[in-house]
Amino acid sequence: MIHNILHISDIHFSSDDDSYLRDNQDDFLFELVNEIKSVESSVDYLFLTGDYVERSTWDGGSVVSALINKLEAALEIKQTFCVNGNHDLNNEGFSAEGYHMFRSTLKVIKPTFETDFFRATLLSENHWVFEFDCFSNGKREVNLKHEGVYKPLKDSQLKFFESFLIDYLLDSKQNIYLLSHLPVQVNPNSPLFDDLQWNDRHIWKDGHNILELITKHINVNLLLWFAGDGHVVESYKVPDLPYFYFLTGRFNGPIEKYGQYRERETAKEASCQFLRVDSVKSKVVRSIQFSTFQERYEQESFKWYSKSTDFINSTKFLNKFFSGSSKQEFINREITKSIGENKLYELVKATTKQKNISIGWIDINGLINQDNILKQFLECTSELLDMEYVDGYEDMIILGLGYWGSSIASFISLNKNIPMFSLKVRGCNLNEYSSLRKVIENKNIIIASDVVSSGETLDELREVLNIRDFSCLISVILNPLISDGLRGVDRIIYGSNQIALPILEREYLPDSIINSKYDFDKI
Amino acid sequence: MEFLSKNKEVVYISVLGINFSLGKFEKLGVFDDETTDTLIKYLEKYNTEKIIFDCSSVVYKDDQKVFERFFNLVKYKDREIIFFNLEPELFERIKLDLKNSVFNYYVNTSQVQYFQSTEITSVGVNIEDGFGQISKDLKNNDIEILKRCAKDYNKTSYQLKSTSFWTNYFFDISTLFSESPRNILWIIARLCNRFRNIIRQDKSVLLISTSLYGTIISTLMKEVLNDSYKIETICFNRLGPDILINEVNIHRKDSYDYVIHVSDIIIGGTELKILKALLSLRKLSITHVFVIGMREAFKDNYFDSLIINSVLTTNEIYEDIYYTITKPELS
Repeated sequence: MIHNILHISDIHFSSDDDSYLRDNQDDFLFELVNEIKSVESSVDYLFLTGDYVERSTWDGGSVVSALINKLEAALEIKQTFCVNGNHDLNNEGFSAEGYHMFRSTLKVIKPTFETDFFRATLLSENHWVFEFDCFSNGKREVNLKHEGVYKPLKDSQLKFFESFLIDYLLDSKQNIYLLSHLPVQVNPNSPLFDDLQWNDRHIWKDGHNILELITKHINVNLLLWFAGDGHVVESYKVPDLPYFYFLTGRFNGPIEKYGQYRERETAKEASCQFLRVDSVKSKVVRSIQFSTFQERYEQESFKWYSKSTDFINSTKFLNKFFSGSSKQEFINREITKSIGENKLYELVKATTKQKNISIGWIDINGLINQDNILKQFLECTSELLDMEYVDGYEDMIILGLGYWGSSIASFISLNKNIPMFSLKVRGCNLNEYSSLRKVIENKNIIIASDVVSSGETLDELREVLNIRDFSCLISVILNPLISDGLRGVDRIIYGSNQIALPILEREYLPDSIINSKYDFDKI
Repeated sequence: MEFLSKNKEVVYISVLGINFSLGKFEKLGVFDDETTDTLIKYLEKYNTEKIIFDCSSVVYKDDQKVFERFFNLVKYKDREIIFFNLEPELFERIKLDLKNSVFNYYVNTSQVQYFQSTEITSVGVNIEDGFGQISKDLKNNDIEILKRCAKDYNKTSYQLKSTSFWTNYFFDISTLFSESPRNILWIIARLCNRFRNIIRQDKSVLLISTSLYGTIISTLMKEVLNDSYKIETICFNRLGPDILINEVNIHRKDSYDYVIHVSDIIIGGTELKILKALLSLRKLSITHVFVIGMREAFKDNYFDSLIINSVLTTNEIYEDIYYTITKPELS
């Protein structure tokens, strides 16, 4: 059974700020629809995971609703599924009228099973969609008037869900698409974990219970989790699930304070991804992330999308594209496990960048020396590249960043006979690279790196080399914080995307911390 | 270059050379099914009575019974086939595949002989010429490749940045990667050959690199040699006065049987000296040095009590190369 799914989240429309979206809907739709139609003629299901409007007064609800309606028509969508987000409700006792009205305008069909906290719809035999509304109106401890409140599920509700699973889904292998606004997992070592301000709003604590019940009772063939709310930068894939797709916002969001420091917030920007799911083969056979990088929070003119197509890039995560590849999954697990077991990750150390500082240091020397990890990663990368570049590697160049990036690049270079250049990642000298600029002109560029933590080096490189796009990024460790937030990268191959490295902006950190390389214990 | 020498009676072929011409990195120096197919092609191409495959630095790495398959393919070829310079592991593998402990093996009309390198005189044919020619070919290939990464400063002279020498040729290894990646493959294989000849298997090895291309070379060597050796690698991001002692973080093991410095080209030995000093703080000492190229002065001489193993010396690449401390006066 093949399903084409479009997943959109976190539009955060505000009639004050988003005049661009209001006035340029057709431009936006044209580009998005064209992108999708370049790979598939139609979409079966539209999954919406909350935060449609910035403020729950729903002043701009009709604009979003019109946008979604146009998408439904243009892509011939059969059915839309929709859950609420914290911004869609409020805590002043208002009714959820705006959200319900919005929902009623969509191509929503009555679910097979419905209760006050979740809906279940049988798409076809053994294919279910679960929609969880994580929020309701009500008072909350944190004083944010325009946001709904998260209410943990009661034991009775969880038991009810359990009995539903046993009654309806027990017998055969099931394929489940699960929708919630909030993501489920956060690293307990994260400073965010103890911060109520974040924790209360951006982590679905019941997610663990729901997952546990599903895996306990159901013979799962395929489980895809669709979530929004990209604030929680350390949310990452739950290892025990067959697949888990987490939808974040962009890296380039506004600055929000937590604890005594400020962190780049990642949400409040719509993102969407297209998935082609093959439940017979139990995998996602195509995944395109539409990068909706926008600068509305960084520029005075709040535009949702620039008119340039630069900002609707389709980034292929080759690992996800071939997510049926057990080898890749294995490598992802092995790298993460190795880093954990061998203590190759330290949260308190930092690598310094020009603009940002990433809290977290991975001993890449140590990782490379673990049994055959590098070899397996390279073999898998090589296979993925061959599957993607079926026409060969002519007009390609591979650039290795730093020592290990260059080592990785050298393997690929030798294996595929692609010319290679090594670059020192720090201290790019414009004169030094003037000759390289000529060489790479009109070439497709593959970048190889050991750890991509903030993507800042790539931005620098783009500037130094005067290029716009990279054809592919290969990285042993890819920070999940920015995993869908890299600009101008067409394809991404990573070894592990489960090690989160929180990024802090230098300008908000005291000098004493910036200047102390290893003494980060104070944080 | 075909890496073979021939006369009316004998064709002498380097299997490593064949591997190189196949162009697959992971296949270099490995005797597998693809190698077998290529050898058969050579058998068909040259109709001499004897054909000698020099297996120097070729290892066995396959679950298949490649030799059994090979012998089945040559059964009725009516040829005398000699495997020469077999590595011990490969030698044992042939014996295992053939379930036979003798050196002569008759398969219908063909006779196959196989010898370890120590048994050169047992081959029974005059292979010295062939062997000499092949060695020359291999070395010429090394020279040809390394010449491609040299910049000629004969008219102006050039002061090296890494050490205080003036020279007339500057070697930039990056050119090998950017212009013809396959060539570096050959150089790495040649370096690994030297490594295999010197370093004993099943011993713990730490490869230390101190430069960008040193790191690349050591990582490539690690991957090529990984099956026979327990190798760890470490690189120091920058080696100079500003290196922090705690960056010399190599306490993954208490000790290593071999601590080896790997670099691209060694001219003055400055890096090596600094590295030695740094490692002494961790009570480690370098046991060997492996490089792609070295200054002629290091050949057959100790440098700081170390023998430097190199694919070539700079004088082998360019006879007229010089290194002087003072700026030469050019005519």
